[in-house]
Amino acid sequence: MTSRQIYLYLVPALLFTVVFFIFPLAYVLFVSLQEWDGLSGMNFVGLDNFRYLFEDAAFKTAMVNTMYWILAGTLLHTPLGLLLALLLFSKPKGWKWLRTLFFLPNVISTTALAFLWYFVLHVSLGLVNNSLKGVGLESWARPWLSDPSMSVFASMIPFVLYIGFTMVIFLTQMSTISQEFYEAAEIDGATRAQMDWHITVPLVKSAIGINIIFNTAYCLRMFEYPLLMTGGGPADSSINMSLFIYREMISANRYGISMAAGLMTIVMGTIMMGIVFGSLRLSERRRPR
Amino acid sequence: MKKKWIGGAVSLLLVLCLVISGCSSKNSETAGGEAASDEKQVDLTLLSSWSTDTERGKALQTVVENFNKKNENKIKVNVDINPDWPALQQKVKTMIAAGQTPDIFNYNFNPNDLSRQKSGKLLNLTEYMDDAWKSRFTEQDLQAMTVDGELTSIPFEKAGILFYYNKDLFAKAGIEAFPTTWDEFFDVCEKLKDAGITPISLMTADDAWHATNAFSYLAASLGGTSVFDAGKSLDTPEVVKAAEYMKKLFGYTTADALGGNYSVSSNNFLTGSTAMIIDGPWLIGSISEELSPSIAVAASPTFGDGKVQPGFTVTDTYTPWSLGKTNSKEKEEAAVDFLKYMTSEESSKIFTLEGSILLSTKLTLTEEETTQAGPILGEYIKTNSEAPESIVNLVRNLKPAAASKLPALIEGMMFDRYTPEQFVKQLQAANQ
Amino acid sequence: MKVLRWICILLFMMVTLVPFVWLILSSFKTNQELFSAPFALPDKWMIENYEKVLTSHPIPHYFLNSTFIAIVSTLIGVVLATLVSYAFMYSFKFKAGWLLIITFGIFIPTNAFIVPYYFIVNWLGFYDTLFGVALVYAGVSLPLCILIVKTYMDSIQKELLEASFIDGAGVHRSFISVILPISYPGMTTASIFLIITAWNELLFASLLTQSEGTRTLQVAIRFFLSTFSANYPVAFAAMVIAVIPTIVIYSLLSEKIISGLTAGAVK
Repeated sequence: MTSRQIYLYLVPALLFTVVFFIFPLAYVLFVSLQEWDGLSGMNFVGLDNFRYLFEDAAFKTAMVNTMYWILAGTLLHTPLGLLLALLLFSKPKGWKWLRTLFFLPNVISTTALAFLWYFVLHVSLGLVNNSLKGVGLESWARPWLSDPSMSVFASMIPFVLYIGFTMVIFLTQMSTISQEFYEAAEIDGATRAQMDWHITVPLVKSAIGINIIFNTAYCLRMFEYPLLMTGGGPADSSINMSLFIYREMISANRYGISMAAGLMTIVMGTIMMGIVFGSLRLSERRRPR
Repeated sequence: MKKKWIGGAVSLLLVLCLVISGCSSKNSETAGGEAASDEKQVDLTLLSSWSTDTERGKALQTVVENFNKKNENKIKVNVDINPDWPALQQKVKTMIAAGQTPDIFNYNFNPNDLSRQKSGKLLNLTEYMDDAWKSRFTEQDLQAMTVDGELTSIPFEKAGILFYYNKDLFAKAGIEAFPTTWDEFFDVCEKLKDAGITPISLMTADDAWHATNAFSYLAASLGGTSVFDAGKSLDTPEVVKAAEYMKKLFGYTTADALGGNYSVSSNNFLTGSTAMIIDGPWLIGSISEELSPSIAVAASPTFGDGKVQPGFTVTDTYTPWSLGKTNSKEKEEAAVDFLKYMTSEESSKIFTLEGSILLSTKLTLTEEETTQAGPILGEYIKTNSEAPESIVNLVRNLKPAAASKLPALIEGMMFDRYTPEQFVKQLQAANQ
Repeated sequence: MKVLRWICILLFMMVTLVPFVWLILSSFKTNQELFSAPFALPDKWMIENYEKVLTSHPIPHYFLNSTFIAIVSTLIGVVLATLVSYAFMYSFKFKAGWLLIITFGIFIPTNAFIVPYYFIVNWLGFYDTLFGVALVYAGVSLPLCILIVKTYMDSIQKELLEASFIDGAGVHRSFISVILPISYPGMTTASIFLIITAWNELLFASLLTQSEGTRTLQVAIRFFLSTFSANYPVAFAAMVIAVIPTIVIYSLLSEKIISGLTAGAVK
């Protein structure tokens, strides 16, 4: 079937793509070659902005930290979501209620969560340090968010813990698994843990893939937690790409450097997403269906 | 089953549509209503960081209300509050970049960052500066605000920064008076620490305000009030020495100082968790009634070597008001009217007495009025006005690139990533 | 075994939900108490904290702003995605190429576009308007939205469309009367996805708006700590007030939200 009229349905989305992706990409490319404070005229500087970035320690940290975020999303957040989905999938009493409860933090407000955890991890007021004191582990207490060796990981905690979204995606796919598998396994005398591991997990593979893609995309544009919990500090130890771009534009007024960093983020994002997509394809192919 | 689903979804969509049409019609109604009710009324928007929960915010509100009442049906000034001062200033810059210059706004004047003035989007007020208005300011202040022969900003506030201290906590540690030399100052810190009291509030985020106040005081004590003069490199032995002292001072602060922002640091002092803070007069309004009797202010210690005169102050930079250029002459005049009213004797009194703002405009207060202002403000005004010389806080004169790097540099020094020499070198490099 | 499962669940609940309890308790304390006894119950329940927030901050207004943005951006995004997904049920020239162009955006971390988006919204005349923010959200989420809706539509049998053509319906009629009614699950999933994303967004909301009239809930929450810097419990109270309506709405609709989130994903 072909019809000219069909282009009518294509045009609006195409228009949006031009306005929000194609033009901005060209704009980013252009501005990344300029020296510009946003207020006075632009000044063509060639690749100087990129040269600056590669010598800038903060930018390197931002790249590394963004990788940490992606790793945390893939290796901590997603497995934790799977674990919780498995726990709820065994349908303990009130599991529906629990599912609602665990999903709740994902809808209330990332900003509020970031502030909440800022206080939870606060060195003197915080829930964590005071709990440690309470059980006699005072020596474990730390300035979690203002210790450069820990700040980036500390600022990930709320993201890693609030897995509602990931969990629901897992649960959905689990609900499509035929009961027959479990009945057969039960006859063979398998324990619940064995069933989880040998039946459920292999069958939710595509949900694992979807979650890894979502979380990688989310981590690539992570902004709220670093901004509100550490501000990228101390000593830039928890800065990430989004925050770097934002800071260069908003506080340093170096639009050129900001957009050069933006371009680097896009390159990095495309590579990362490419790797994720690629390895998912590969793992799908490995097992003939 | 499936049909039910569709029905549910359709009804949900319908509800959404209703909500939207409701919202948008409300918006247009109010907008249309305002325009229709009075064609001649000029609406102006003033951007401010002074939330109405603060003293200065209330004072501003009073002044704006007075002005609006006087110009009823002619001019209406609306105040838009963004309580995060560093964020607001950044916002204004991006707004100017987008050609959305706010009608009325204030900012920290920085002789090394004149991008706002040079953008050509600020109104030149020279022709409005008649003798009557001129008489409200000192010639020196007006001169300082003139860039390329254009007066684009009106001097308003240039706050002195002083040492606040908690007398009760000092007494608890057996300290009787505020130290006059830096050696004594660090002894006092040691004593406070021994008594289990955190000596001083510091912070490093945003403009690292409380820390750079200390840094500027130390640098001026070591190298005189010309230590940061324009055109002079920061990389001098005095500034390096000051960085060393600042590093030492961070040993006497709270654990949340690194990475903390203004709120964190001031809150520590205001809850009695720390014994000292170096801040401007706006802090007075946040001191609770219970805490108020134990708070006093003092001038900085010196090294006693005559490099600076005792009683000198570090000040904030000018925080002037500016107007965005507009095509409408009416709007322009209305905005100027408001600035004139804002800097009038009448408003100055409100700002000073109710808002604890020490203004650049001329104002003579009777003794009675000063006592009415409360003991801390009275003491503050006295200490501030007796200052024999002053210097502007370093952070206010840094280029934006250096200012945005400052928190990381200070924190880096605290974690021994940089020596004080490297700290100063890097700061100087970023400030080129 | 069962016990172990419950221990895991309870442990997880503790870690994730205790902070909320602490937040609520702290919001009823005085500032001094918060510092001296961070764990204890409030000595005297400071209802005043809540009064202070409610009298000085138009939180319902911020809430409405966020709602407006979430709904408008979702409508735009889903409508566009549905239209274009329908187009992809047909074959036309360079189909794969077009698909690549409109969906390659999912690879792009859109935060990198803050400078161009800022100026685009300004050029369009939508700076400091709710619609401007909604437009950007719709644009940013469009590729993912298309992918969700298109995946669902791909599962619709082509024969339906063919039958409708045989009945004499044209391209538009077939869309409205045949495809649209059965695509709701996919659209719902995309909608919920978009609503949640739009609801939580902070960067563009704070970049593209300025006045109090267009402040979203997230931006407002961000400012609470600066506004009430001298009194954390009041800031906490403000946070509690700000998230309560969301919690109420969510708990009323949670079943719909969760099932809708996945309705379009299941085949």
